Amino acid sequence: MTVLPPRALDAGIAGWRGVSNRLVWVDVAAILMSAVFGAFVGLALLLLVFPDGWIGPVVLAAVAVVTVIRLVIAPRRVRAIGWILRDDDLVVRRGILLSRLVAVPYGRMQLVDVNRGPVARLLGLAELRLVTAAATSDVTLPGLPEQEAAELRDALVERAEERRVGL
Amino acid sequence: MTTPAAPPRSRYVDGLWHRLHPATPLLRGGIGLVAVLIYVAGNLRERLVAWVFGLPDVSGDPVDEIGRHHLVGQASLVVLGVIVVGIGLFYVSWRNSEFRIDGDAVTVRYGVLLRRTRTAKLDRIQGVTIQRPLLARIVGAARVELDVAGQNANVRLEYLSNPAAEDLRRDVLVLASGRREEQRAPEEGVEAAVLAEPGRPVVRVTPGRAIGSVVLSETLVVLVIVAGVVIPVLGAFGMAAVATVSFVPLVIGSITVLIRRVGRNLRFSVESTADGVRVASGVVSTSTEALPPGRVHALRIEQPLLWRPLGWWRVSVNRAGHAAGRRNADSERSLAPVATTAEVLELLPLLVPDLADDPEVLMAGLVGRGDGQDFTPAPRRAAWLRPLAWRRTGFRLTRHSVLARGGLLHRELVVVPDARMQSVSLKQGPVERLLRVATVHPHVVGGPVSTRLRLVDVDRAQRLFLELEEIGAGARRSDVSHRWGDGGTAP
Repeated sequence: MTVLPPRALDAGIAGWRGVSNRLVWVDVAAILMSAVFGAFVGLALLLLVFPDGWIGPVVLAAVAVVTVIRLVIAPRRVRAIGWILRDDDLVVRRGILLSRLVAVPYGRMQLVDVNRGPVARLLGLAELRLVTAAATSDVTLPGLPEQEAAELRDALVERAEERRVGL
Repeated sequence: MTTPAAPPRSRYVDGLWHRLHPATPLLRGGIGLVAVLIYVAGNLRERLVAWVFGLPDVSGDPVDEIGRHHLVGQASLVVLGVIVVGIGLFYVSWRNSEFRIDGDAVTVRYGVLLRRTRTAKLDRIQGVTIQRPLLARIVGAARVELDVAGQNANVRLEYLSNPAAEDLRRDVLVLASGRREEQRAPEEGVEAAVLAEPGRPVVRVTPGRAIGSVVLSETLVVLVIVAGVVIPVLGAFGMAAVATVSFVPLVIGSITVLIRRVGRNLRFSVESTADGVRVASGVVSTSTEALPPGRVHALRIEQPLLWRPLGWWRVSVNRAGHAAGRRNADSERSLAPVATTAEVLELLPLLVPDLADDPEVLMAGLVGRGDGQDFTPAPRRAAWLRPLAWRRTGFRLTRHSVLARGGLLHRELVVVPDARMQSVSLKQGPVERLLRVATVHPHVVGGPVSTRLRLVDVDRAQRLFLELEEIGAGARRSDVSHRWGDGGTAP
């Protein structure tokens, strides 16, 4: 468990817990997948649709640039993810460019899911997903080691039971 | 099931199975069957007669033919048999459609071959709608729909007689509100009170306002611009054909929508009753629905620019379990499609009791700008993001709710009761970071109303985020308004 340093937009909450650094590899896998897809489109444009046109090389270059940028910021994005269990709620923070902070009161949780993607499973990671009656408060917390995810889920379910309220 | 100390007196709330209106099978699609049978009989009657009586060459009118072959007796028997079988089928279908209300839930079961049962927990019922399609009105029946949180989770009771429907609506609301029957005033008569549940009219849409609101709507203005400017201009450039093909269907479609909207606004009324607000609308098919105050999750009062001289407002609500898929048009989702300022000021406290405290605050929210009445306005630097609307953008916390004000031309005020907030988020994009502002978003159940508080100074936003979270937790502990009849924070 890592404790994250404070940062600009954290509502003065201290003691954020970080997620596993191995999540970077999940992100890298996703980025490479989309890069392969982009390259495929670019090559198709270059070789089949407009053999002498400019559009194929432009698409390929754009895919390359975007992929490099995403790979460079992937570790920072993972480090920006934090969560903390407070007295009444779970607070999750995410994002570098678009920072987002969500607080979900235990009593409002309708569902707690634990999901594992194929790459995450290889790395022993899981993603926690919280659902309330409001569609907008759909919160995901990726990159938790499986053991920790299970414990967190049990803790959340227990607290949700204690403080269950109506809609 | 635990029996309440003093059970409500209606004959339905007894935990036993009750039948629906005898005309139910007819109204639920049986009428289509009858029409098909009549059509078939009308077109194929010669064949039918030939087939039934084995007459090889029927040339004239079948009724004459039957007379000529002395088959009147047999023919009558056949007709009688068809009628008996038909009635039998309807009877079986009716016998197998039942509903039951006990202390916890409403259960409905339908169907002969394919049995369907559906249960709604009483404390999850968000509202009760009574609808009367044209055919049902003719036989004096109504459809009762219990709104339950969740997609497609509504429970329909089709059909009940009119008094029974009103009766049931009241009982379910009473049960859902957790109120015991003995709290009712004893002088209220039995059946009369049920039928009446005397409502005090709060909003009445006059025909002039119903038409005026549509004439002055943004849709119609766009339409006039299209018809008056775009089409002639395209015509002048020799593209009349293009203009016709592309715009005429659009114009016709929009006009249909507008006419339908006038129809919906006509005869529209909101009444206040002991069980909550009752909304009635429609001329041909009428619908009545009840909306208890504890089921209002967010509220928006807005005023399109053209309505401003007339002082008209539109009120929309987010509520759990409203049949969102079935009602598509915006005006159908609005609680009051067009209401005057006075009506709005009377209506809002019925929906969010907290707003009764101070009408001045409400007016500041509706028409004010700047920091009057303790509103926290957006900082001037935020004008880069909202060149006009920043002047009116602002928020205020009242005792039990959050007010968000916005829109300079299209005025808007959003109200979120503290106790209905599900979660809170704080967001900041790159431009917002440059301007040192952020967006605070109290999350509520889905609906037409967006509840974001925009352009809040970043330090204030972080404090607000924590405050809302704390207020929400506090409000949640003391809140009993989802069972609003139990005392406590009674409206």
